[in-house]
Amino acid sequence: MGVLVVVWWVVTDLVLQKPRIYPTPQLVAGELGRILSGESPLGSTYAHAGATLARLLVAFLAAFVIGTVLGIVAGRVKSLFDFSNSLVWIGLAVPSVVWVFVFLVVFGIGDVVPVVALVVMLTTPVFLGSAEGAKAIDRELLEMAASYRADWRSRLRDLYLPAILPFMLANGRVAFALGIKVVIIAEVVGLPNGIGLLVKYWKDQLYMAPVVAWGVLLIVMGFVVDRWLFGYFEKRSLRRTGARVSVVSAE
Amino acid sequence: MGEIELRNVSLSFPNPKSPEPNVVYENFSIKIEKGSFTFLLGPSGCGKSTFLNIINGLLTPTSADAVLVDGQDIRRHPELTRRMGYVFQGPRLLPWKTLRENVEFGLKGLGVQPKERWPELIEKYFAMAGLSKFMDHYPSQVSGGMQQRAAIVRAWVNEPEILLMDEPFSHLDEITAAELRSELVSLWAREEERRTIVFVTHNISEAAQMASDVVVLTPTPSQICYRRTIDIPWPRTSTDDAVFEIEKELRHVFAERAGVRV
Repeated sequence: MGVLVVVWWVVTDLVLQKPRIYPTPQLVAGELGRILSGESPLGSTYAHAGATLARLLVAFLAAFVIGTVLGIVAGRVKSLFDFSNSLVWIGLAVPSVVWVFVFLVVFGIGDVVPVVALVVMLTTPVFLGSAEGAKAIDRELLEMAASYRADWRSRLRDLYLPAILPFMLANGRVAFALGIKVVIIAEVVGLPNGIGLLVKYWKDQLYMAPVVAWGVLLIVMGFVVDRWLFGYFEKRSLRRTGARVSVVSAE
Repeated sequence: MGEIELRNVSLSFPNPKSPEPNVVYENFSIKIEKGSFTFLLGPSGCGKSTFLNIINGLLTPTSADAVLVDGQDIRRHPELTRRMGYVFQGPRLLPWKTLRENVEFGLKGLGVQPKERWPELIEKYFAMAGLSKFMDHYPSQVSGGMQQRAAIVRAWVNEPEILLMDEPFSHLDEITAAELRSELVSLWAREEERRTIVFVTHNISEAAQMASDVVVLTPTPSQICYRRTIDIPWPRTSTDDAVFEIEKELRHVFAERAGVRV
């Protein structure tokens, strides 16, 4: 990490010497300070960051729930799984900007566009992971549940969800990371506020240091969420499945 | 409750490798007495487990005159299947639930009421199975034999009139299996009003040791090729002469009529 910063410094400060376009570490650090103090030419940075995070969170949660439920259904019903295989490609292959433009035309400028675009894009990987997880559920356990007449609620809560929990964690990680990227793009393309708008403003000024500073902040945020939040759930899920404690042999 | 009767049951599956379907049963009829410990013996693939799945309503026959439990057809009265317990070949416990939670999963599914009775039932049957100390362990924390005992508790805890057992001891080591066999028999024999147990196996000595009734099936399409009652009192041991005689006879039947050498 330290080496990377030194290389960055040497290249930008000593070789390129165009700090507006190729910002030096010192400049970026200064901009980081300005961002954290809340100052920007377009109003409070915290308000912008809050708007971005709110969109990300709402869309992530919606996509997670929708993708998981649909994925479980598709994983259990083979014809639906086959059918969804082609639909999934629409979600995977269409670039985020295209979604944003399409939804801009449909909904006009506002919060709906980035949230809907995000939901569409994030649901896909969540759906795929959950469907694969549900397909892999042990047939013997399903038969057991049928024999004990478990209703759909109990099957969902006691069997399907715990069985696909590892898949859900992986889904959450992928979707959240993808979400950070997509929400910024949506905001750059056409929104009245958010981190994306600030990034676009500085890019239009041809002053790149704040752009890089925001990039650094997003990386840190993504890293913290991944390590702490998902890491926490991962540990919990391991404990719940009774992570291999020594076998009790006193019979 | 506890009498089971199948009348002219036919069941076939489509066969992916040939245009001819796989016929498991063709006009198969059988009656199992209430309170009996009936063993279904037969070569592998003769439709023994299928039989249990039909009674439990997990499989619907292609055609049948009747699938009766106490004179009522389970296809019209699916609630009858809630009064059965099913022990599978493996323990089939949910790995993310403790033994107690696994048993509660069964109670919840079968809709055993009132809920206030659960702790009492659970403690009673875990104690019978010698598992009281391990109720709050996860399946991965106990041995295979203990897992299977927990599965038996799950099947027995709602005090079902009919207990279906599909080679429940076949994957256990012989010592654990022998122990569980004698415990199961004494648990069943001890009760004033005995439950009906239908026990599927291809282990002949197991049948000779435990059964009150033995039914031997032919390879598919299955038919009954032999049937008898065994009135040797329990507990029996495999070294009893009388038990040994039965075992010999069953082996003979297997060789002569079921077309299998054992």
